[in-house]
Amino acid sequence: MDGHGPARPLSPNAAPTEMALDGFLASVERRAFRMAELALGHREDALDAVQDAMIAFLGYRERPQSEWPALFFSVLRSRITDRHRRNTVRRRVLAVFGVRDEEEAEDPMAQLADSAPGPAEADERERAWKALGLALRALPRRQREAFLLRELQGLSGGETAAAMGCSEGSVKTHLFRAQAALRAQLDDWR
Amino acid sequence: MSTPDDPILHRARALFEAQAEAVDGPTATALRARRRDALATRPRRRHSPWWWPASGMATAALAVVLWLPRTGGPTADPAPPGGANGPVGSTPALPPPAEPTVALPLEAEAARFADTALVELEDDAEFYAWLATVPDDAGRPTDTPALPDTGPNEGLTL
Repeated sequence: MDGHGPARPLSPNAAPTEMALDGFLASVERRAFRMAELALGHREDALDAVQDAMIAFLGYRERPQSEWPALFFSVLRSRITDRHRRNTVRRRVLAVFGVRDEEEAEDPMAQLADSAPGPAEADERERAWKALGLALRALPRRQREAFLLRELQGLSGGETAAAMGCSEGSVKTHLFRAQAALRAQLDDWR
Repeated sequence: MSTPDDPILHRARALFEAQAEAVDGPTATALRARRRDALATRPRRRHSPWWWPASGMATAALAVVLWLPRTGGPTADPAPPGGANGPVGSTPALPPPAEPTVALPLEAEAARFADTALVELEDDAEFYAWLATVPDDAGRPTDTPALPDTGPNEGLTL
């Protein structure tokens, strides 16, 4: 968790919980955004999902701070799933009318990555990032969630199970299958 | 499970960490703005909506309405041993256990109706066996000419 500064200077009279909340959200927002971006494949959708998760997470502000990371990523997982389903329905409805989903087709993030000049290393990283996103989005939802939470966010097995609402054994199964599928899809990474 | 030196998983983790660190300026600004908006949002109180009790009562009323016709209505309980005005705190006599009144699906209702019809058929098996041996014109007076074939209501005078 990286420690980025608060969004705005809080007043000296701000409640300790609010300051702690601001600091916590600042520390997880970038990782949360990258996780949502990998799962959704769209920058604006990812930003919306992170903001929705932040708002919903405020309802748990009274919980012990040690539980916040698992709670936040549990909420984020739920918001990503909601947005994923909404996008699926939207694509199907648009397909019925023969309309192309412009939001999906014209991802400004992808355009930015393609057009921005940069060193070869950055280009290579962007390509790898896109490949990872495509491979993850090709996975079944539960496998993708297990991989994102356990492998990339670094939650423990118990925290991942709590966030996904299943047993630790199920998490291990989903994770094992996800890893096997990713090894097959990203074989050129070896 | 994965081995710690699995190159693909190792690279995926390293890539994720690098990308989380290297968020571009516009995205970082957008994230800060959205965090500010989220924190400015008044947290919604997590309490039961006002309509939960009303919906519970409506469900209970519907259950009673569906239950009454099936059981013929609530029957008057027999007076408890101590009389209707028994001592305060005494345990009233429990009614005998009734048959479950769970609403049956349509298939189950049809199967139950068929079972009942079969039982009645078996009870009157002797009658139906006799009926099968009787010719169709049996019982008709011999001096009455047979009626011509007519429609179901023709020739009937009421």
